Amino acid sequence: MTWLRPIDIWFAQRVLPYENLFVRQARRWSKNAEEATDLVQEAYLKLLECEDWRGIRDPRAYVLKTIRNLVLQRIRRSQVVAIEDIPTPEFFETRDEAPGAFDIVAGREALAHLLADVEQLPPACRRVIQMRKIEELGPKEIARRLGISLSTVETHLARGMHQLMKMRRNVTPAHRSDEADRLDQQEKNEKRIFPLR
Amino acid sequence: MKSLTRKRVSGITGAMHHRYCTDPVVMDRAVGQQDEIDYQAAAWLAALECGTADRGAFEQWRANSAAHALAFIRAAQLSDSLALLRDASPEAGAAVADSERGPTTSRRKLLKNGALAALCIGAGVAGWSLTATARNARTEVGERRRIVIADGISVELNTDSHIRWDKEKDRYDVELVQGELLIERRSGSARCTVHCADTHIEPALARVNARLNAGTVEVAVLSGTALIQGSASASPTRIESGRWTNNSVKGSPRIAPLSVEEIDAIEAWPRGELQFNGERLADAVREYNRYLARPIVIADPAIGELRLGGRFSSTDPGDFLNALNTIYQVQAHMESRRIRLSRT
Repeated sequence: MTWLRPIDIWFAQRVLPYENLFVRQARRWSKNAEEATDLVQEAYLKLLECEDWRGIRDPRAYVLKTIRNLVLQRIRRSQVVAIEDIPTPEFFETRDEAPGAFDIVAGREALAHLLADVEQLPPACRRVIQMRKIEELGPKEIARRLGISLSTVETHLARGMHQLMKMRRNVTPAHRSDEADRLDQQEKNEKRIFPLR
Repeated sequence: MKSLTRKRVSGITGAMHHRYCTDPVVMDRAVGQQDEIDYQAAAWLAALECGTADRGAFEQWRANSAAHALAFIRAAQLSDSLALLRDASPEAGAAVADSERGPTTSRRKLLKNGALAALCIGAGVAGWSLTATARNARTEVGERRRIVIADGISVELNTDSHIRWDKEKDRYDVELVQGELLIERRSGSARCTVHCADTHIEPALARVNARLNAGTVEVAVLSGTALIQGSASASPTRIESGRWTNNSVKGSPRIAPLSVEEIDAIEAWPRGELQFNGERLADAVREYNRYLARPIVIADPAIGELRLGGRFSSTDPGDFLNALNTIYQVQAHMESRRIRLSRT
């Protein structure tokens, strides 16, 4: 059941949890929500291509630095540079490892959104996703219960997961300004910040 | 087969726009590409789950581009998040309670076991107890399962194993009742403690393997750090990545470094593999038998002293038996209830 490589596990553990932070910071620097998502994606890809990933001590700071360099690159390429466009080495937030009250609420909200997404799937597809992912039945058992072939189960699974991934992409943190605002507020209350070198 | 899946995955492109891009808005090319990669990732995950994927072709696809690898990580994460809906959706819960049978995966049976296990485990760390609401998960011999305990906390359950878990305020308690588990705790997740016999393990962001082996608790911190407490009275020890503690019921715990080979051997089981690094055949067979409904029996004690290495499927001993025959001329006699090894 585990198909992730060591680098994938490391990435999922040490990088992805900070996605909201990356997108927010990218948006501040690039002043463009869509571009912010692209920047984060580009920084992720660079990291996943990095052969010496084990040597990266602070992956979060590493990603932020990469994003900033990408913004600088883009600005240089655009040639028309206004002083205010240059990303200042802004303060980075640090975050407690344990989830705060906000994270727990956000986690619940995220689950509610996910449930709503699942309910939007076509009925046959939803049934298979529900049995496989939520009830955690084996694919063969699902095929038996629904009286369909294993390959049909596989097709529903693939389509369902794809649709859900697509819906997820449309709810990137960059588009959820209310959440970002709340986080910005929370950030102001946080004392432990350090500058990027 | 295997090329089938590959063909299907790489042949998606044309059909995709029919099936999924019905939105009148003209899709940006980059978005279209990303969408296609997402579909491939979802298709690979489905094929792997259904056992129809060609692993080689999959690895090739993943190694081909970081964008593929990233999409696959996201698909796997989405899969984990969906498992969390189990608690959030009453509808899903009802469907589970209605479902019957399937000796190994029946949730109803598991729920019943949970209700029967309405006892408090008072020993160990203060405040640690599991109540009637504790959930149960079991695996049969040869079976493996992945269980998402909470956001960012997942458990791989090895063959013939049993865990119970419960939530107390913001903390999760997981009890290893029998067998072996590999727990992974990610950043931002709730606190959790793994209890096995007298040993209590609190993983920081870490991957920790724990095994109950004939009264002995074996804990391996594969990455990250964990606090390990040998008994209620002992003070916790901080174990860094790659350290191993062997915690006998009697006697004091031992802490020793963990070699790369040992880490590899432990990391092999969640992939359905067994890795030997020159163990005695008697020990290797004992390990293999944990996974086999029809056990291997060594008829000639001298055979038990042979040493071997290699990586084998944990559920299909065919390659293992062939290797023994080729290297040591050991014969495997397939009997109805056992596989007997002898020199003749």
